[in-house]
Order: sequence, then C-alpha cells, then structure tokens
Amino acid sequence: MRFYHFSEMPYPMREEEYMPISGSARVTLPNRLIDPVRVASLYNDYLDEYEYADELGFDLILNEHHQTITCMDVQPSLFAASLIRRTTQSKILILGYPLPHRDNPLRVAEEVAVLDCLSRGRILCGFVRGVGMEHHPSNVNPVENVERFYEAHDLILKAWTHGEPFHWEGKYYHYRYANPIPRPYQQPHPPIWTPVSLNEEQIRWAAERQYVCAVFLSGFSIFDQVRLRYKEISRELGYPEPGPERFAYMALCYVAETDELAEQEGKELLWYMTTGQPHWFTNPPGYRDVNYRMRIYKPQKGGWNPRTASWQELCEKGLIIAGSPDTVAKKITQLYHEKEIGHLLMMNQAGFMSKDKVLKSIRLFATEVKPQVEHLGLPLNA
Amino acid sequence: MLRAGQGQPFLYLHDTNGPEGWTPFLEALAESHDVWAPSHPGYGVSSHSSDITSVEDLALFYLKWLELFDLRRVVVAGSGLGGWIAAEMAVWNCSRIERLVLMDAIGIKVSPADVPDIADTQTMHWEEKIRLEWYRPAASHAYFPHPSELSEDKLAQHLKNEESTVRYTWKPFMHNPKLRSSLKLVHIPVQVLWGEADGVVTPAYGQAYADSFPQATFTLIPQAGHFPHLEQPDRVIQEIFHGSPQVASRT
Repeated sequence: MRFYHFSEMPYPMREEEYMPISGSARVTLPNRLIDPVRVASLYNDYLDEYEYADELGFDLILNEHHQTITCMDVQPSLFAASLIRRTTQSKILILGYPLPHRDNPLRVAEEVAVLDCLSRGRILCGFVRGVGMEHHPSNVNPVENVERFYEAHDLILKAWTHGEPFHWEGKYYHYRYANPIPRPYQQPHPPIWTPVSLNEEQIRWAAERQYVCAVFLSGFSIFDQVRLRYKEISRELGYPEPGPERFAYMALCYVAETDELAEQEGKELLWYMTTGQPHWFTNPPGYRDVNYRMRIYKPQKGGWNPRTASWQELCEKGLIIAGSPDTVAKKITQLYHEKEIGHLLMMNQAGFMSKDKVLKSIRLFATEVKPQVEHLGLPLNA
Repeated sequence: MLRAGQGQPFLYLHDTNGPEGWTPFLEALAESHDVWAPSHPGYGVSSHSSDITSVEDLALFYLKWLELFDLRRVVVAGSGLGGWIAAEMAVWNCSRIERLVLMDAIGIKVSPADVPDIADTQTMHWEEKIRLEWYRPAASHAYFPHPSELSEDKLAQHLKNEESTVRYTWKPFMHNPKLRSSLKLVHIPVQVLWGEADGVVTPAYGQAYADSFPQATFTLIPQAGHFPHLEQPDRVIQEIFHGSPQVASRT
C-alpha cells in the first residue's frame, strides 16, 4: 500500500462569518474577506506539512479548485514545483487537472512534462472533470464538460507521445502545430489517475484505459460498487485482473494517542463536510443529467446526510479513518484485504485543524501505523 | 407544437422558462390568425438536437421551418429568448417575415463589460426570480409553479428546459455581441413591447433595443413585468394589432 498526504489548503472561516454575506462558501464569497497576510501563513504552513510528510515517507497529493475557501490551491503545478525541489522521495500525485476548464490543454501537457522532468519521474498525473462549482469561475458551459474532458485528454496524450508536430481541429480545441517541449520524463507518460463515482460511463472510460481510479469521500459502499464494476469491465475487455494498484480511496484521516483523543481533535476535519453553497453552483444544469438533478427538488428517500452524521457513522461509512495508531492500523489492514485499496489518499488537514495537530497525526502514522501496514500489497506500482 | 386559428401566420416563440401552453394570449390571437406556438428544440417535449447549440442555430432552424411549411408574410413574435431568436431570424432572412413583435427580448449588449444588462435568474432563489419577472408574483403560479410542486414528469421537463437554456445562453451571457450592430439590416416593421416592471431586462434596455432597428416602435405595458403577454394579454393584443400606424394600415 502507499499513503498520500493531502490538504486542500483551505482558508477556514466559520459559517456565521460568511453565510449571512454570500450564502455560499464558494464562488460568491467576496474576496475582500480573504486576508492575504493570513493566506501567506497558511500556504507556508501547508507546504511545511507536505515537506514533513515527505520526510516521513508519505507520498503527496495536490488538487485544484477556484474561488472557494475550501481550497486555495488554484494551480497544483505551482505547489508541485516547489515541493519537487524541497522534497526527495515522494511521488507527487496531482489529482487533478480539471481539463474542461482549460482553454489550452497543451499547457497541461507542457506543465506535467516539465514537472516530470524536474522531478526525474516522480509525477502521477490525474485528470478530472471538475466539480459543478468550477463552472462559474471558469465560465465553461456545463453542457460541454464531458466532451471537453474527453477531447482535452485525447489531445494531451497525443501531444505526449506523437513525437512531432501535429494538426488538431477538434470540436473544442484547435491547433495547427501541436508539438510541446519537453516530453515527459516517464515514458510513454506518467501514470494517469482519474476520480470515479457511481457513473457507468466514468467507470468504463477509466477501465478501458486501465487508469487508477480514485473514489473521494464517498464511503466504502460506493467504493466497493465502483471497484467491482471496474473489475467486471476490465475482465470483459480482456485485461489482466486489476488489483490494489488500480484502486485509490480518499478519507479524512487523523491519528492520535487514543481513540477518544482522535475523535476530540479530529472533529476539526469535519469542517470540510459542512461548507455549503446553493444548488445552482453545485449542480448547474447540464453538468449532470436530469435524473440526477431531480434530487434538488425531490430529496432521496433513505439516504444519509454526511453533513449531519455523527462521528461514529462517518467512521463506519468510511468517510473518516481515525483513532489510535492500533485502531487505524487494524482499519487499514481490513480495507486492504476486504476492499483491495492500494492507495490511501489521506486528507490529514481540513478546516481549522491546526498545524501542530496535523504534524502530530502524520508523525504518529509514520512511526506507529505505517510499519504495521506498509508491507500490504508490496510491491505496488503507482 | 401548438397550432390553431386561421388567417395570416403568427409564429410565437417562448422564453427560457419554456413553453407556456395555450394561453389566453394565444387564444385571442387565434381568433384572427393562424397561430403557431412551437417548443424550441430541447424545451418541453421537443427533443434536443446535437446540431443546435446556439441561438443562431435556433434562428436558422425556424427559418428552415418557415420554408418547410411555405409560410409567408409571417408575424414573428417572441418573449425574452424568443425575441432574441426572432431578431436573429430577421437579420438572416426577412423575406418570409412581415414584421416582428419583440416582448422583453434579450440578446443584445448595451452596457460596458462590467455592467450586467440581464439579471442572472439562473443563480438566484426562485422567489427572487419571480419577483424580478412578475408585476404580480402570485400570478406566476398558474404558468410556472415552484419546481418542488411539479409532478415528476413536469419536473424532468423543467430541468431539461434549464439545461437547454444553459446550452444556448451561457456564454456570452444571454446575448450575441454582434447582434446589435446587425439590427440595422432589419428593414421590416418592428414593435418592441416592454413590461414596465420588468426586473430581468429593464425598459431602458428595451428602448436601446428598439433604437437599434431602422424602424421600430417602443411601447411600455403598465402593470406588467417580463411577461406582459401573460399579465396583460388584452393590452398586448391591442398594441400588436392597433398600436403602430404602419401595422394598423395592414390589418
């Protein structure tokens, strides 16, 4: 198994501070409320945490969002570049570049190639569709999201592998000479990852290409369904049986000296579940199909609400992996054997979780949990 | 597609909310005209076509349609988005169009880059949207109930309408930057009718729209918002048939 340290790099605010003003944590929260002096401290603290995680043997994961206090990483290539020069061993997973929101996908091909060369092959490259909330910041039409994603992906792959200039007059992207320099260090290109939810088209697309599929903060049940469907489709297509190296799972994670302390201190992470915005940002028309959007007005029966669930429920359902080192080690071992999770994406920081607690959790994990679980599934090709 | 009446063809094009059904407005028109009230591709029960992704495409679709049914001397009337489609149709080819009636139309840009001309009703609470659109918000219910009150079928249609609106009007938002300067090519009579209380597109915007045509009249409809043909149908009918001197001489 491999373990990846993750922070979305938030600018934590309490709901009472912003909801009366914008009614939303994203898009419309006025940027005059974001203090650049505080931002400077936060960015440097977050990078300190990443560098410490690298020293302790973690891999690292970065993501991208815009116009939101939940995530100030607007361009993971920037932070990856800093981390590459200041770390030594970690894989750096960017999960991921929201391709539909790029007007020039060749820039993504260039950036990843630069990072991969600079790091001598430590980059893992994730391509994502982007959440609904990204459409207003970039102003990309939601109905075009999926098609832009596929076309940008195909273009980037050709740009990495074709070897000479080529012509591309697609539906969304147009180039007369596509020939990015440099090419990636890893050949033919870095391993590609992609987030997958319970969406047949998404699972099939990932399985057809045998990309690592990542399930984010959706719980064990959804992860299982995705994993089993991915394996079914892979078999159908004649691939060798995918194993843990293909499956990545993200959870909010916290390790403390005891289970009780883990709950007490780890509760700060739940801030991430509480931030909200109106449905027209989360779910703009055209981003998901009509059947999915029905739930805006017709709430699903029997569903559970992660925003209001208890700590115990969140732990049981798998949104949180937390406790004493032994509790966490047992849980991870169970996850590996029962669910073939090869890559654990650990959101060790969220909300108001303080730097010293994040560092403590990472340290306890590295010294007391990792020795118990790192042998699981080795060697694991990332 | 709804159709009734006999006489001169009258094509009515609906707004972003979707088709309104057979309204008193259309009923009154059908007493003296052959009224055609289609649902645009992607709205109501009309299926979406992957060839049609812009208002320009919708305009060409309807121009082909006029040819297909060999309609001539057509009065083309549009509400909001429908008005924008009508204006684009006339720019391309007004040979089958006798005159236009634009009611609270969108589609042009009047103000500088950082001043919105058109309220962003896609990103506000329903109640706020209704307040901007209606002189009497309570009257909206008969035409556009709150989505949570709709049956599953009607809700699915409503959500599909929203998707179509996004498809056609997302960027540039609710307008074609080139349209305003092209309107000087439209040499047929144009009536621009505007609800006095329209909070989505203001009367000032409407006046600028009218001023962009070589021959257009601009008339305010009192006690009406964005849908004067729904809130004050009698007054609107009167304006359409007797309002403009050029128009009156033809009827």
